[in-house]
Amino acid sequence: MTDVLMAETASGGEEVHEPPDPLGPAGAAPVRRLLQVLEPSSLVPTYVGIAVVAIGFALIGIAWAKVAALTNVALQLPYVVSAGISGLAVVMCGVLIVNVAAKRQDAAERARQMERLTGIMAELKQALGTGTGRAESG
Amino acid sequence: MTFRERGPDWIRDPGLRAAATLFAAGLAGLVGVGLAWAGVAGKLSVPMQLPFVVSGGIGGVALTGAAWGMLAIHLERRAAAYERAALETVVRDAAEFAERLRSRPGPTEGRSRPARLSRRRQPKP
Repeated sequence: MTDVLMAETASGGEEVHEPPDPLGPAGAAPVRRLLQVLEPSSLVPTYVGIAVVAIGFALIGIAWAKVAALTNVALQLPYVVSAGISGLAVVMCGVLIVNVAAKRQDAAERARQMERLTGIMAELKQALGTGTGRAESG
Repeated sequence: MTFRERGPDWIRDPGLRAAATLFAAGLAGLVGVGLAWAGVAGKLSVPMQLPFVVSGGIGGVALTGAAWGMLAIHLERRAAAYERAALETVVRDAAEFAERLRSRPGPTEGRSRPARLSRRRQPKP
């Protein structure tokens, strides 16, 4: 087991064990792709968050363009509310998505490291227990 | 030699460069809010004021919030990366230690009994 752990440590633990596919091979590709996207270690949610931030800024830009082209406040205010304030909210949502994605990635990486450390510690415990037994019997 | 190579340490570190960029973007958002105030204060007509409110006010708040939010995420991830690197060292050392412990021969496998132990087991006269 230590050999496996050493090899895994040396390779940076990039080995991925494919779980058995309960849906079968036919027609399961989109579902599998979606599950891969939703995995904690996936980078896709981070890029989605950045895209949402960009959309928010684009909305604010659209609001500015519409408001600047009008001279009637009654006609300007709907753009301020629908595009301006909504754009601000969308930007904040994007930052939140990036934040959550980053936290999930860190948590996944830490869980992977902890799992390896627990395995090595179990191995150490076993090896030390064996050594004590040998010394006592010898 | 570029400015990045001969500059101070924080310029050579890409993580700190990113942090400085995000901080500057947040400051730029605050400057936008200030410009919006100056534009609004300089106009007496509300239809002329509203574009400043939208572009400088809302845009500035969005830029500051996004930039400093990203800065917080960046610094947090940087600290987590340092922590993970330290834990990775512990994992490697533990794996190496376990491997050495496993490959070490036992007391009966090619190693003589310690002299002190054999002396202690001698029968008393």
